[in-house]
Amino acid sequence: MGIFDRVFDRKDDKPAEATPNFSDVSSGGSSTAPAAPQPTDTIGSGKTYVVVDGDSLSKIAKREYGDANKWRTIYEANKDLIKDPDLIYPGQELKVPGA
Amino acid sequence: MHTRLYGTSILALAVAAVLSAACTKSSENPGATGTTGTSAGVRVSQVDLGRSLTADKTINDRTDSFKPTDTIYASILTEGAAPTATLKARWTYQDGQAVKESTQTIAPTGDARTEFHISKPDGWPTGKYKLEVFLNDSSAATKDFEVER
Repeated sequence: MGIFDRVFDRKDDKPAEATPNFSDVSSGGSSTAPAAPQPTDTIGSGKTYVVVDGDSLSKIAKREYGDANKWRTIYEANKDLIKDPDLIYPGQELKVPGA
Repeated sequence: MHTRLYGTSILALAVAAVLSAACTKSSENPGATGTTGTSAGVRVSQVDLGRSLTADKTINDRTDSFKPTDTIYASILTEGAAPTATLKARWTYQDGQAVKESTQTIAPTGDARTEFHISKPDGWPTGKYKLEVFLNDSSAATKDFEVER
C-alpha cells in the first residue's frame, strides 16, 4: 500500500467536517471588584476641567482616569471645542465624563 | 596618610553601594510592569474553570472536561489595585476558531474575582477549546479544556 493509496483512502473514509457555528453562544460575567466608570454611560455627567499651560489630553486623562490612553473619551466629549486633539489651549473648559 | 587613604576607601564604598542600589532598581522595573499592561500593580494570579460558581465567584467544581450541555464558567483572580483594569476572555475552538469574546472593566481595590461564562443552547461541539485571558490587552493566562460526550 503506497502513500497515494493512503491519501485516497482517507479522502473516501472521512468527509471534511463542517465548521461549527458559534453564533448562538451567549455570555455573561460579573466581578467582586467595583465596575470602573464607563465613559459611554456617563456622558452628560462628570466634571469640568480648565486647561492650564503645559496640559495635553493624555495628561488630563492620566490625572482624571489614571490612564493616559483614555484621552479620546475627553476628546469625544469636547469635539465642539477641540478641532485638533493635539491642540488645546489654557483657559478652555473641558467636560471630563465620568470623572 | 593612613587617615586620608581610609577616608578615600569609605567614599569609594559608599559610591559603589549607591550605584549597586540604582542598578538593582532599574533592572526590577521592566519585570514589574511587563505583565500588567497599563494598570500597574494589577496582575492575574489564577484562572479556574468549572460548571458553577459560589457567591464569591470562585469555582464550585473545578474541571477542564465538560459536557455539551454545560454552562462553562471561568473565575479569574486578580491581585492589586488600579482605577481601571480591563479583563477580556477569548474563547476559541480547536485550531483557533472564535467562539466568544467578552470584556469587563473593573476598578479593583485589592484581590478580586471576576467571572465569565458561556453557554450554547444547542450544545457544544465535542473537541478541544481554549480560554485566553487578557489584562489591559496583554495576554495574561491561558486555559485548555475539552468538551466530551
